[in-house]
Amino acid sequence: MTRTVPLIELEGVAKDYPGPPTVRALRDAQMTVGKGEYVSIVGRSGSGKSTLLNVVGLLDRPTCGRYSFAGVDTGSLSERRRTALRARAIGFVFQGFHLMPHRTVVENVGMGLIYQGASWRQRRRIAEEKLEAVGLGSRSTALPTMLSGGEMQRVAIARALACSPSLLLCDEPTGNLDSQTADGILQIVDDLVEAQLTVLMITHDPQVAARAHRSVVVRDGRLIHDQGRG
Amino acid sequence: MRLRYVCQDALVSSVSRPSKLFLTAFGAMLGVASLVAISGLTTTAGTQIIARFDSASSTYVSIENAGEPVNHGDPRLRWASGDGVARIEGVVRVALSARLAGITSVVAVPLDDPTVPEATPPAVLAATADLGEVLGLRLSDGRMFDRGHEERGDNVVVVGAQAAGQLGVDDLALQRVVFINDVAYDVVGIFDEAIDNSFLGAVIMPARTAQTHLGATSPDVLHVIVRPGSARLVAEQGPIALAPSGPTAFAASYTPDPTDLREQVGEDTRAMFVVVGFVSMLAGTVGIMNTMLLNVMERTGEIGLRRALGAKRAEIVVQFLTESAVVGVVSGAAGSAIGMVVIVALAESRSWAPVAEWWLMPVGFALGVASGLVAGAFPAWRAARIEPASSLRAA
Repeated sequence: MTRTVPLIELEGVAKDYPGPPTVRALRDAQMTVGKGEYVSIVGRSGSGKSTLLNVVGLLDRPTCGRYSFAGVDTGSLSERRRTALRARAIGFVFQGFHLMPHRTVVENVGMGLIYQGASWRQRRRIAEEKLEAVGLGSRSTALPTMLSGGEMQRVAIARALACSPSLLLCDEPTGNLDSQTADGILQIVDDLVEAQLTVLMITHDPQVAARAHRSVVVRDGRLIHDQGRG
Repeated sequence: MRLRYVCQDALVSSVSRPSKLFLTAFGAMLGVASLVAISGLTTTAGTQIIARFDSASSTYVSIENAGEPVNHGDPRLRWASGDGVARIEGVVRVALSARLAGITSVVAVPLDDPTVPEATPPAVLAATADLGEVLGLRLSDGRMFDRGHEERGDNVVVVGAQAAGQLGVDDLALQRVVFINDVAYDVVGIFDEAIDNSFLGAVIMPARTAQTHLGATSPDVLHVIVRPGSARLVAEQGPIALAPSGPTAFAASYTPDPTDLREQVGEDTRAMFVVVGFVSMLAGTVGIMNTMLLNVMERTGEIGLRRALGAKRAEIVVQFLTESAVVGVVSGAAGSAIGMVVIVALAESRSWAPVAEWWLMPVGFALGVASGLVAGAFPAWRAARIEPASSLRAA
C-alpha cells in the first residue's frame, strides 16, 4: 500500500437531506485516502455509501465538516471551481454505465473532454488510446446498444480515464455483470491501481471489497470501520 | 472554444436522432407552414381582390367644355386637344367627338314621300378615328373608319346597331349608303356594343368629313381611357393640360374608384393573417416547449453525467438551446417550404397567380428558429437546474 500524500481528507463531514423529515445521510465522517490507495466502501442499501461518494466526487456539498481534495479545502471553492476540479481530477464509473445510446463508443469516451476544451481530433485520439487500454480499440465506432454489459462498463471506465483523473470513483461497477465479466472489470481496476491511480469502490460484494487495500464500512451514515489490509 | 465544442456536440446529438428531431420539429413546422401559407394566400387572394376591384374601377374619363365661352379666345376643346392630355401619366388613349347640329335628314334612300311622317333623324357625331377603341365599339359588320379616311375627309360613316335598324342599313351586303342632309356617305361598319349604349343610336363620321360637309367647328367631348386607378388624377390634370391658365373652362367626369373599400378589405385580410399566424406559431412553440421539457426529463441521467464530467450550468443551457435551435432550423426550413407548396397548390387549384412577398421564406425560416429558441429557453433553464448527484441516482 502506498500512503504518501493524502488525496482525500474528510473531517467531521455530515450530509443532511431536507425533509420533512430531515434525513441525516452522513454523520461525522472521518476518512483519509492517500494517493494510489484502493479503498472499498461497503454497507447496506441506504447506509450512506452513495452520499459519501457524491461528497467525495464533488457532486454534492457536505452540510458541515471539512473536505480537502489534494490539500484544497473544497468548501471554499465556488460552484464553478468545484466543477472544474471535478472535471480535471475525478473520474466516475456507475453501475448503470450511463452511456449515450445514440453516440458512438468513441464519442461517449471523449465526452468529458469537451468540457476541458479539447478539439474533436484531440478527443478522438485520447478516446482511442483509452479504449485501447481497456481492450476495446476495435469497437470505437460501435454504438453502445451493440455492446455487451462488460463492454459497456469498459467504455464507462475508458470515459472516466479520458481526463487522466487522480481519483476514480466506482459505484457498484460490477453490480449488473456476471461474475466472469465482473472479474475482467475488476482486473482493469487492479491494473489502474497498480499504475498509482487512487480508487474508491462502492460495493455490496465482499469479494469485490476484498480486492481493495482496505475497506470502509458505512452504517447508518457513520463510517464505523476503517480497516487496512496492508 | 469550449462553447463551440458544446454547440458542435449538441448539433451531433440532435442529428443522431433524426426521427425524434423531426417529430419534435413537427408542431412548429406546421406552425411556420401555416404562417407562410396564410401569408402567401392572403397576398395571393389580395392580389386577386385588387384585380377584381381594378376590373370594376373606372377607366373612362370624359372632359367637356364647362359652358358657353364668355369672351372671344376663352379656352375650348379643339380637334388637336387630345395631344396634351395623352401625355398625362395613366392615360392610355384619347379621342374627340362632336355632336353635329343642323342635321335635317339622315336616310338610307332619299324619297320625297309626303305620306311618310317625318322621323327624328339619328344623332350624327364627328369623331377622331380612335373613338372606336376609346368607346369600345364592337363592330358586328364591316370596320371602323381609320386615320386615312379621316385625313382624306372621305365620306364614310359607322352606324350604331340601333340607328342602323332605324335606317334599314343593318346588312351591309344589301345597303352601304346613307344620306345625311342629302349627301351620300358609305357605311363602312355597324357596331352593336359601346361603353355607353346611347352611342348605339348614332351615326359617326370622321371629323374632317364633318368639317367639310356639315360645318363642324370644334369637338365638345374629349374621351379618355386611363389605366385602373388613374381616373381621378387624369380628371384633375386633364383640364390643366388643356388650358393651364383656365382649367375651369372644362369639366371632367369619371366614376370614383372603390378605394376605401379596397383598403378596408386589405386591412381585414392582413389582420386575419396576423391573428391566425400568431396562433399557429404559438401552438408550434408550445409544442416544441412540451417536447423539449419531456426531453429534459428523459435525459436527466445524461444531464447528470455531463455535469459530473465537468459541464457548467451555462454549458447545459447552451447544449439544450442549441438543440432547440436545430429543431427551429428544421421547423423553419421545412415549414417555409411546405407553406410555399401549399400557396402554389391552392392558387393553382383556383386558377389564381400565386403571389408571395420576397421576404416570406427568410422570415418564415427566422420565425422557426426564433420559436425553437424561445421554446427551448425554459427547458434549458430546467436542465441546468438539475443536480448531478440526484439525477445520477434517479437514472
